[in-house]
This record gives sequence, structure tokens and C-alpha cells, in this order.
Amino acid sequence: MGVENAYSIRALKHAYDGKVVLDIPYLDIPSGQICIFSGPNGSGKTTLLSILALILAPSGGSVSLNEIECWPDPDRELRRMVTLVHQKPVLFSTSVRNNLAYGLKTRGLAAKEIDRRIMSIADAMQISTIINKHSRKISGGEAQRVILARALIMETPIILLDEPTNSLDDAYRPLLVESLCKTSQNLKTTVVIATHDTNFISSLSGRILRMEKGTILNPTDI
Amino acid sequence: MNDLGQSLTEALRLIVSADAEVRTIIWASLRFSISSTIIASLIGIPVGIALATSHLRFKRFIEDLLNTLLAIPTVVVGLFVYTIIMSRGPLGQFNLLFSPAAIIIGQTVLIIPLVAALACSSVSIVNPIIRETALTLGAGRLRTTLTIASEAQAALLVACITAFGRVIGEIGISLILGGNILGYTRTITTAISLQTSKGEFALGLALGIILLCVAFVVNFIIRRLGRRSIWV
Repeated sequence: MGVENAYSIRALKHAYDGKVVLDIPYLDIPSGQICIFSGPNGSGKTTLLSILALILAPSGGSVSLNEIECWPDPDRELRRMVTLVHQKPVLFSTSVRNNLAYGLKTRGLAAKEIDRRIMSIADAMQISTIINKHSRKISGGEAQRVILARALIMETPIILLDEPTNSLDDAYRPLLVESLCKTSQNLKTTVVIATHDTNFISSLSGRILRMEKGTILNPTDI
Repeated sequence: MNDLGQSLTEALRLIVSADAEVRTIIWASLRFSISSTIIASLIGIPVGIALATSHLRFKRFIEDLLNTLLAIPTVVVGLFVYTIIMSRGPLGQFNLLFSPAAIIIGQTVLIIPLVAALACSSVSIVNPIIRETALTLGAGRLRTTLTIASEAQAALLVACITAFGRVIGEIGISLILGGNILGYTRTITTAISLQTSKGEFALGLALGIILLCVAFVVNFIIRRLGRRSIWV
């Protein structure tokens, strides 16, 4: 029995104002693994992640998530399988606790379960002391950890991270690596990361796909 | 100069002694303005948010229309509502003319475009990643829209207060639709107009000072809320 794919991409193209910025003829991303897209700025990593997160409709081609075609109209249940962490930290203008609870509330989880998950992730990401602070009153590094925690707490089958080390203090990088590896192993979560941080890439045990000028140079390495 | 001095002294006496007529007029003004602001906000804010978050074909045209309506003179709105609620108008059977309801309707019509336009621009400038984040965290369309609106809540409050500032100081609608009836539809601005035409400046000045104080408080609140709206 072969490995199931989280994503299957065929003839994917995306263009801004007529200029093609993404052109991926073929790509499969297996379930439950860590997949890293590496490449310089402008190579199309963020565009690809936005399409995989179902928030950007591609100009052409097909993207299947768990063998379900996503576009042109991805439904809510399909969206709920994916969590995206943007490269620029954006927290809602409320407390850290409310930020963490936001996605769980949209899924209608019981208050007790929400509290349990918040305590667990706050402990793992070392943000317990700022849990009741307003999101404006925390540092950039703390905000980045809260954003990662907000994604991990969802326990979705797929997590997409766009340059997750951008605003993260060096001291917390091992914490991020550990959290991602644990999530991938324990929950069989598919973790897709876009980064140009070579140190971060070397610390992860995942498949590396090199991107350049909107295309993947080694699509079959996965 | 002597007249002005005497009028000012008398005006201050009226304010300090909380003159009954002054109180009645101020209460009427506040009642009408607060009512119309609440109604206009309940209509204008959802309209503005919907406009900002939608991809309507004529979105730009509607925005231009709203911005054009911001400059409409109050007397024109008064005249427009007058033709609707006068005895021969479509709503003539309800006998609304020269009543507080008529003033509230007119003022509401006046500020709906203002609230909607300000709400639209407030929501439009919310960081677009907020919307994407809400979507990727599983929020539906309504919750996503409410989240975006929540990020702009300080600016939306400023829109309401700005609208209140517009109606508390208007005269055209109150005069045309209210009829300036003492103890019933007389507002600060219509009272000032009447007193001035009678050459009795003391009451007009007292009300003018109070109107200025209200404007100051409104501006103070706007400034404080404006500071809070900065996204960090």
C-alpha cells in the first residue's frame, strides 16, 4: 500500500497581472511528513502556501487535498483541515488567551476542552506567563510564539508555516523544531514549511524541495 | 460691547442656575441627536462593513455616492423628508411633521451616509492578513466579517461620535421638520436662531456655549479613541 498524499498538485499556475509567478507541473506532498520549500525571496513560496491554505485561488491547474479537488470553491470543512501561519506576525486585538481560543471556538469545542488545550500549548510554547496579557502588550518574539501556538492548538491534519523563524528569537528555535517534530510524529500532522533559513532547514528532518523562479527544481525528491 | 458683556453675564447666569428652559432645550437636542445616531449607526455600520468586505461590481460607484452625500446641506435633507412626511406625502397619514420623530428621521437620513462611509473606510484599512488568519482558523464568512469589524471597533466608535457631532449642530432639519416648538421640538440650534432674530442674545449665547462644550467633549473622545485604534 502506497503513502497517502495530503496534497496532489497538477499543472498548477498562478499569475499576477499576467506575469506567471508559480508554475508547478507536478507535485505530491505525502501525509504525516515534514515538507520544506526552500528558496530565495520571490521564488513563489508564499504564493504556493497561500494556494495550499485555500485562501488564494490559482490561475490554473488543480490542487487536491486528501484527494478532494479544492478549487474553484473550497468548502468550509476542507478549509478546516489546514492552518496557515503567516510570515508577518498578526494577532487579533484581544488577549493572548482569546487568540488561542479563536479557532477552537469556530469549531464549537467545549469550554473545558478549550481551556485544557490552551494550558497544554501555553506550557509547551513557554507562554504561560503572558496568557492573560493583551496581544499589543507582548514582544515580537512572544507574538511569534503565540502565533505558532495558535496554529498548533488547532491540531489540524495540515499545518503550513511561512518563514516561521523570521521574528523568532534564536533561543526559541529549538522549541519550534521540537514542537513541529512532536506534532508531526504524535498527531501524524503534515507540516509544510516555506523558509530560506538554512540553519532552520538543517535542524529539521524533512524532505526539502528547492524553489526558484516559481517552480520546484526537484519535485520528485519527495 | 456693553450689550455683549451683559448678554454674556446673563448667559453664564442661565447656565450656572440650570435654567428650566435651557435644560428643556438641551435635553431635547441630546434626545434627538442620540436617537438618530443610534439608529443611523445600526444601519450605517453594517452597510459600511458589508461594502468594505464585499466585491460588488458597483462598489466604487456606491463609495463615491456615499462620499457625495456627505456634503449634502441639512436643509436639502429636511426638504426631502418634508415631502415624504407632509400630509400629502407617502407617510402623511402618520402625522409626523413638526414632531420629535420627524427630526430624528431627518437627522438619521442625514448621517447614515456619513456613518456608512466612515465604517467602510475604517474596515477597509484593517490588515488583510486578519481576514486570511480568521479564514485559516476555520471562521465562516459572518465570523470573519465580525472579526474584521472588531479590529476596527475604535474607528467605528469614532464614526458614531462624528455622526453625533454632525447632528447636534445641525439646524436645517430641526427647523424644517420640527417647527421649533418650545418644550417639544426646540433644539439648541433652532433656539439660538430664534433668540438671535428676536435680538435676545443671552439665551442664545448660553446655548452656544453649551453647544461648544458638547463639541469639545465629542472631539476629546474622538481623539482618545483615535489613539487606541492604532494597530500594533
